Amino acid sequence: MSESLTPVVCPYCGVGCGLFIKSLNGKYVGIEYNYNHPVNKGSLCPKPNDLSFLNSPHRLKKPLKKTESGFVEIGWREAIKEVAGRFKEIVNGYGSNSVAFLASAKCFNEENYLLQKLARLLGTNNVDHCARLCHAPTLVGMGRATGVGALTATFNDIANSEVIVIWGANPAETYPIVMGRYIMKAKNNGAKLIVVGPTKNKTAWHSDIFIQVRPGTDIAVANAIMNVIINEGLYDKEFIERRVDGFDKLVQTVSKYTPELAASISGASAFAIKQAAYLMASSRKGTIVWSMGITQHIVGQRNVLALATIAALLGWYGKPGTCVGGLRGQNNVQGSCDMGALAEFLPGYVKVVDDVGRKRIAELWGVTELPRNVGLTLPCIFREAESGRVKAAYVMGENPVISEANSTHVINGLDRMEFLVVQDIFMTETAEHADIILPAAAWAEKEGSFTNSERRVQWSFKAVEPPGEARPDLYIIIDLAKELGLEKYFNYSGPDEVLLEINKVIPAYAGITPTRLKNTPGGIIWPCPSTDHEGTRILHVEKFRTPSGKFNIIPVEHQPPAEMPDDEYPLILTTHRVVGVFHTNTMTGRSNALVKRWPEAEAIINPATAHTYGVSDNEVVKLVTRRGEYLVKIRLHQGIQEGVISVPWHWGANKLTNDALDPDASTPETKVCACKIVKLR
Amino acid sequence: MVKILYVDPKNCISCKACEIACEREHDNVNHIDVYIVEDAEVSVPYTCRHCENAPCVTVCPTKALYRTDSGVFVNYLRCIGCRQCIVACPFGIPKFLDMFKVVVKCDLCRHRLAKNLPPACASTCPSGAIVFTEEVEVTKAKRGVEVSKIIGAVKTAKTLT
Repeated sequence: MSESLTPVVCPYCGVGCGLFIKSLNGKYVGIEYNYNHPVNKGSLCPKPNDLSFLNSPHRLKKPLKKTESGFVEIGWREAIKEVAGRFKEIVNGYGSNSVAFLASAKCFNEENYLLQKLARLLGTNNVDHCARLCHAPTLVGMGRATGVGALTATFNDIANSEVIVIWGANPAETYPIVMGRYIMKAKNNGAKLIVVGPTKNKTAWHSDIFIQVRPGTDIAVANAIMNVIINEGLYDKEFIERRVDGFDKLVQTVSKYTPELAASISGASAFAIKQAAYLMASSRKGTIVWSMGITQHIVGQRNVLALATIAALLGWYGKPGTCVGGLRGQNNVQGSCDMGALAEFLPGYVKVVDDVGRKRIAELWGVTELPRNVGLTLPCIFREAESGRVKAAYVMGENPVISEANSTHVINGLDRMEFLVVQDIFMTETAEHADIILPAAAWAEKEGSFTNSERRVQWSFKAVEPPGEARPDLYIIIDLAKELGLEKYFNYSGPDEVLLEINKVIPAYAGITPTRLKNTPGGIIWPCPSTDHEGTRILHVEKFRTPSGKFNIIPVEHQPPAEMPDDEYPLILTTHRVVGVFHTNTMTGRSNALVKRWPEAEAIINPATAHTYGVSDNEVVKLVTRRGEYLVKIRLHQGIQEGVISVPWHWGANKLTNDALDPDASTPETKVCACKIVKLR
Repeated sequence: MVKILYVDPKNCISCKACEIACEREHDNVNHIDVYIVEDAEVSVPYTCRHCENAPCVTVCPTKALYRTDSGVFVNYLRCIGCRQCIVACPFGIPKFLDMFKVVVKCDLCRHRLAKNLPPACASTCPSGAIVFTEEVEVTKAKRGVEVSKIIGAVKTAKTLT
C-alpha cells in the first residue's frame, strides 16, 4: 500500500469542516487541507491539525472486564455475551426502565439511530446524550418559538449579515472556523459585531460593542434591548404584523425592563444596552447566535426564547443574511438529536407521547408498540442510579464524569449501578468505573454520516484501520442486539442500510441517501424531502413550522440563578473552554502539539478580585463550592468582572458546578454557582 | 508574480492553528509563533519576513542562507552553526536547533509549494490573518473595501444635498 488521502469530516466541534487524512499502509501519518470544502475551504483550527491521538499507545485494543485484580482482557464473543446476559437479567428482574443508554454526539447518525432503536425495542426511552448538557434549551425554546430547534440558516448567511450578535459564546475559541471564515469576513465587509457575556474573551476583542453582564442575568438585558427597540419604534412592523403572534404580550412584559433596570440587575452599562439596541435595529439582515452561556442555566430555555424574540422583532428570519440559533458544540450533536437519541423524542423529533407519530415509527420498525413515557434525561439517569432505580447503563463514547455538572454525584451513580458498560476509544474517567469496556474504532477508522450545526449532512469515509481488535460502534450495537434476541430488527450489513432506513423514518432526511451523500462533497442540508431535492439552506421562508405558521412570542421574566454568592461563598463561579482542548480532553489530551500548548487548567480572575483575596498570578489555589473542591492555577485577566471566577471545565472542574436543572429542558446550571477561594499556603 | 506570506494581526483570532500546522510540517519545530497580548487585545502571528535584502543572508559566511525569487532559505548541509544570522536578523527569527547544531527558519513550506500547495500556516488560518498571495491581491482587496466605504459616504452625501 502507499500513502493515500481520504476525505473525512473533522471529529471535533459542530462546524463540520472537511479535511483529508493522510495514511500510509492503513495508519495515520498526517492531514492535508481540503481547499474545496464548502464549509472551511481548507482552513482548520488547531485541533484537527494534530490528530495523532489516533496512533496513541493508550488506545483501547481489546474488550476489558473488571475483576478483583483490575481489568483483564477478554474476547469479543465473551464480552458481548456478558453484556447481553446482564442486560437481559436486569430488564427481566427490574423492568425495562431500570436500564439506560447514553448515545454519543461523537458517533455517526447511523450508530446513534441504532442505539436509540435498541433502547426503545428493549422497552425504554431512557436514552439520552450530551445534547442535554448543551443545546437542549435551544431545541425546546426554538421549537416552541419557530417550530424547529435547529439553526435557521447557514454559516454563509452569517457572513452576509450586517449586524452579528454573539451572546454567551466565544467562537474565537470554540468555533474558530465560523469566527474566522464567516464572522470576520462579515466584519471586514462592514458588518457590526455585538458580543454579550461575562468575560471580554477573544471573540469580544473583535466586537464593536461589548456588553459585560454578570452570569445569569441575560434575560434582563435582552428584555431591555427589546424595550428600547419597541419604545423607539425600531422594530420591523410589517414582519410583526404578518408573521408574528403575541406581540402585545411582549410589549407588556418588557415595558418594565428599562435599560437602567437591566443595568442594575446585570452590571452592564445602560448606555451600552441602548447603543446595542440601536445598532441591532439598524439592519433587517442580522444574526443572533449563542452557546453554553445562554443554555446552561436554570432559565436556559427562557434565555433562548428571549434571544429568538429579539430576532423576530427585527425580522431576522427566513431570508438570506439572517441566522438565528445555537452554535452546536460537537461534530454530530445535531445529528444525534435528529436521530432521536433523546429521552423525549423518537427519530425526527416525534415526541414519544405523540400516539400517531409513535405508531408510525413502530410500524416501520415492525413492532406493535413502543414505550410511550418520556425517558430519563442524562442528569436524571445518574440521580436515579444514585438512588438505586437505574441498575445498568450502556455508555457509548461519552464521558459524563468530566462533562456533567456536580460530577461527584455522577461517580456515585455509576458506582451504585449493578452493571456498567462503556464503549470508547480510550480509558476515560468514566470507563474506569465500568464492568465491561468495549474498544471502539475512532471516527476515521469507520464510515458514516455526520450532521453539522447548519443541518448539513456529510459522509465521512474510512481512512485508517482501527487498532487491535477495536470495532466500529455500529457493528458492536448490531452484535449486541442480535445477542439480545432482536436480530430481526437489526438485520443490517453496514451503515448504508441503516441510512436507507433513516431515509424512510425521518422525512427531513428522506432524500439524503447513502449513494447521493457519498457523491456530494460538502453534503446536503436538511430538510431534504426527496432524492431530487437540493436541500434547504434557509428555514421559515414563507411561514414558521409552528401550528399557526407564525413566530410564537413567549415573553419571559428575569429569574436569578439557583445559587447566588453569600458570605460563605462570596464569588460567582462560571466555566469556559479553550481553543486547543476539546470537551473532556479524551482526544486532544493525547495529541502532543495540543498538550504542549494547553497543558492544564487556568482559572481567570480580575486583578482586583485577586487583590481582595490575596492571590497572585500563577498561584495554585483551591476552589470550593457546596459540591466539591478543585485545585487550579490562577491567571489574572483584566477582561473578567470583579467577583467572578471563570474556570475551564475540560480538566474536571465540574466537581464544583451546580446541577440545578432547567425545568423545561433538564439542562444543569453549569454556568453559575457560588464559590470561594482557599489559599494553599 | 511572486507570492508572499502576508500576515495581518488585525484578523488574528489567537487560535495558534498556524503554529501546530507548521510544527507538523517541519518535524516538530514550529517556525511561526503567535504572541497573544491580552492587555492590548491583539494577537500577532510572527514569522520570517523573507526580506529582499536579507541581513541573515548577507552575514552568512558559508552561503547556507540564500535568497531566491520566492524567499530566504537555509541549506542545512552548509550551516556551520556560527549564529551570525541570529545576530543580524532584526526580527529575531532564526532559531538554533540544538539537536542538529544548525539554524532553522520558515521555508515557506517548500515541500508543499513543490506540489503546488500553499504553506501550511496560510492553509490552516481560519481568519485570513495569514494569506499566501501576490502582493497586488492584498492591496487590491484593501482598496476595494475602502472604495466601497467612499461610495457609501458619497451616496449619503448626495441624499443630504
